[in-house]
Amino acid sequence: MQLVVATTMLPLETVNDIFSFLSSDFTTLKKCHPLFPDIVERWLYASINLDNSGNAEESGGERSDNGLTIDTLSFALVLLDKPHVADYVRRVRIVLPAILCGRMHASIVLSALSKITSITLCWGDPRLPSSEVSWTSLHKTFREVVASRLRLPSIKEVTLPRIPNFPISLFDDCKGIELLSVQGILYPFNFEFFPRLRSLGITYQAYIAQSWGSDSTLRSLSLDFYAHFKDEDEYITFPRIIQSCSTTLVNLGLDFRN
Amino acid sequence: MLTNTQVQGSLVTLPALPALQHLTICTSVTFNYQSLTQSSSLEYALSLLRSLPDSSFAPGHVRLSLHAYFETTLPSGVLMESSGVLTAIIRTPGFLHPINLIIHVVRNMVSFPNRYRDIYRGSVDMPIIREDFELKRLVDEGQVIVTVVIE
Repeated sequence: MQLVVATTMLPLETVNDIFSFLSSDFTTLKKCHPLFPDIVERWLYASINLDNSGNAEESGGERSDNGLTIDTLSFALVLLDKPHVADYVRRVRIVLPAILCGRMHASIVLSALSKITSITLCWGDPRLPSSEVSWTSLHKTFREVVASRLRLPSIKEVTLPRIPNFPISLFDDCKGIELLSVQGILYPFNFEFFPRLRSLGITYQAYIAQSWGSDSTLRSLSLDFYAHFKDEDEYITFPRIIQSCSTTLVNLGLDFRN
Repeated sequence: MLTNTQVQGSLVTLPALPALQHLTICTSVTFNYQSLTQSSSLEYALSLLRSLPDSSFAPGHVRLSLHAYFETTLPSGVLMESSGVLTAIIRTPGFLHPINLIIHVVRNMVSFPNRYRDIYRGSVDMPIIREDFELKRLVDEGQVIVTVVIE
């Protein structure tokens, strides 16, 4: 009790600094929430993992790099009760349902998040063959909301799973992206889309080199040859990509699994 | 059986990368009931590694992640062969240690008995490591870092 009293007498900035060290310890943050609701909520909801697969209860109390795992509907109710929480969210990860049906609650939640800097979409289990789930299979409202969130000036980091027919034109007005990771083909790729890009991860195919554009200032590059390693041109052409950023590249990853 | 002669010959080399600090190359080999499935990408990854000048990177800054997929339970003969193959890959000239060896045990195979999953789960003291003295030594010395994934 004395510790609690002593802590509550500290300047808010100091208390905030203390909680910054607990940013991924959700169990402790939840326990501290009744005492410091305003400060704790800033850290508790800074990074959220919207997952309806039933993993929320299992992992909600653990440390996680993916952020606080929470059921989408539950987080929608949090926002209904405390709309200001939406502005605390900086990173959002959305686990897409493997079986797409009806309206996705994620649309409602995502549309409320206007301060996010990072957005990640990924498929939940059980995985369907990716060829069966295209961008157009997703609910129209959800697609529109994702497109609008990608265009937020605050967005710096985007991670997308393999989504056939994902329109690269969605990146037309996303000039602030610094980190982009896309499973699947991103074609035609041109650095003019991403003037601030510093980190890129893509699935490689030989014809990407043809549209690659001019030299870049990438510091990190990951090329995934996972599903397309039958064409010998890929062996020969990918060094051209690396050559384009040879003077600035610090980290290089080549995934030849097949 | 994969031998060094099958992985010789560099198809391409990387350009000069003066600022590069970390290079990670990820490849795979698959073992099944009959033998291992040879992988063209494995050959390519190995030849690429062999083409790197030894002086280009500080120790530990080139990292190979070798994913070994075991698709079913293996008879002892094939298991021993698998260990030897892994060791041959790891000892291929051009490799810089440590190496990440990620062993995937495919859980959904009907013929994969539960007792093997229990043996493999979270333990580097698994048959695939024990069967080859050289591989065991590399693991014990920390030159090969083993991660077991039950899929």
